Amino acid sequence: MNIKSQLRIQEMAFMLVGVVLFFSLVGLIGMGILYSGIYKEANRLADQKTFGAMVALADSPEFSCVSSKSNCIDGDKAISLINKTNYVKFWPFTSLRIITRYSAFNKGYNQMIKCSIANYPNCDLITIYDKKVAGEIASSNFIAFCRKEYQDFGNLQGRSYDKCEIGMIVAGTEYKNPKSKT
Amino acid sequence: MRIKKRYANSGYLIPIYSGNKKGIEMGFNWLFAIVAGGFILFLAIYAAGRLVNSGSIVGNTLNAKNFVNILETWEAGLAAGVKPPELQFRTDTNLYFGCSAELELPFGKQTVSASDIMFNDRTSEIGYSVAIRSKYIFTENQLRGKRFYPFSVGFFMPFHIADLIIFSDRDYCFYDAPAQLQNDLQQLQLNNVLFPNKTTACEGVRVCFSNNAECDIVVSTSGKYVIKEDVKMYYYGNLIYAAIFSSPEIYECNVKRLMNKLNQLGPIYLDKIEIIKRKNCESNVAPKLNQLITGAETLSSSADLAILAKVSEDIDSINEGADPGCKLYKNQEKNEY
Repeated sequence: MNIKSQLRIQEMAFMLVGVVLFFSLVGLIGMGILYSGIYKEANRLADQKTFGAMVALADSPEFSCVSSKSNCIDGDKAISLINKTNYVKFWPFTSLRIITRYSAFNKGYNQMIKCSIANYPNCDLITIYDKKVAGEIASSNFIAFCRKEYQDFGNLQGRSYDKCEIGMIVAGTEYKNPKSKT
Repeated sequence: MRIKKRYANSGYLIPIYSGNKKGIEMGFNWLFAIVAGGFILFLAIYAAGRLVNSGSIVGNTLNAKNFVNILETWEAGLAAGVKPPELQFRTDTNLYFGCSAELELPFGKQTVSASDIMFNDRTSEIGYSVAIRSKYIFTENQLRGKRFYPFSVGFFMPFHIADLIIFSDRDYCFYDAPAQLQNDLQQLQLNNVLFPNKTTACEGVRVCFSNNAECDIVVSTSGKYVIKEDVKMYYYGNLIYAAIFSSPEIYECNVKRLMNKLNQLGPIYLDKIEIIKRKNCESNVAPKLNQLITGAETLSSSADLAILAKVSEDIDSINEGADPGCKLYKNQEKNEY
């Protein structure tokens, strides 16, 4: 094989490498454009899922009131969910909280009185669970927060009734960010 | 045979046919270009194929995910029944359902995946399955079509345990259905559930409430069971709809998941009994409720539902007799089927 032929083969090989590289780059750019919106789409779906599930949550068996009122949370049931870790995977939220009364709406979580079985119902915030994920966005919805109350008329007379206040349910969603390592 | 060798400007000449002197000669460059070009073409076609496949997997996974997102918003609550809008896909679609009561305890989970139906009845690559944890979907193992018919009813034992979401893709013909059941279903205005007379023609799955050899599904309201695909599924309350519309595997799995849910809800009510005691509300439900929780824990199949039904009705009677301001939950009207 003469030198000229060897050169031509080398030229051809370089050209082929170039062609392959060119098409690979075109392919990569195409894939980049095609999947550029995938994080946005995933976040939109996650947000939609959280909001849909949160709106329906008040009517779920774990929270629903004794009366058949819609969008009403039975505080006497909700308070017992505090230590039930089984529900962490059940609902599609990264955190789930209930603000039990209107007067606490302007406070930060740190300023609110945390609820426990012992201090309930004299408290502001029932934290059902918090996975403590980074990049969490919270969605909220107003609800009627009801609990049993006893009215004493004196002389051993009294009656139990449902006392309801405006409360809020706050659910978290993890926002995926392509730049973060998580 | 003579091997022809000659150097030329184009490099080697390789004889393709050397039988006569006028044999076709091909330069090395050409041969190299054909082989390399073929390889590049093959790579390009393979990559395009993979891209189309992964595109359809992504599309089908998104379809399944959207489907699950829509389900999340369905909560019938204490309503007797809810008919959400019919679900319509852009193209004919296969939906595949799976269920496990043992995975991801204590609740178990269901999965759904989708694939488009293309021309020639071929299906595209099935998308990744999407998990459903907080919903109870009663359906056949596989649904096929563009339009699906959902409805949702509450399941109470004796308090609200969950909503049963029932999905179907075909018409159902109900023969000799009890008046209350017919009334309940007609109120939901389901387009795929028909109540024909014996003489009226009805094309669809035949559901009979009296023994008939020509039936696909037989329901015995006295025995509280449904026979489908030669399998007997026992029901309690609104589970009658679930048994009619779903495959035996999904039905039995979801009954176990519902009992898992009862096991989680029971302690919440036990805690509630203690909390409302502070407000002068005494409830005598606790011993029976504990019995119900134990029964639900040991349930092995729907055949055990009858035992739990008795305990559930006892709890219901106690709760009904409680002070109106101290009821644990709202008692439900009993259906006759």
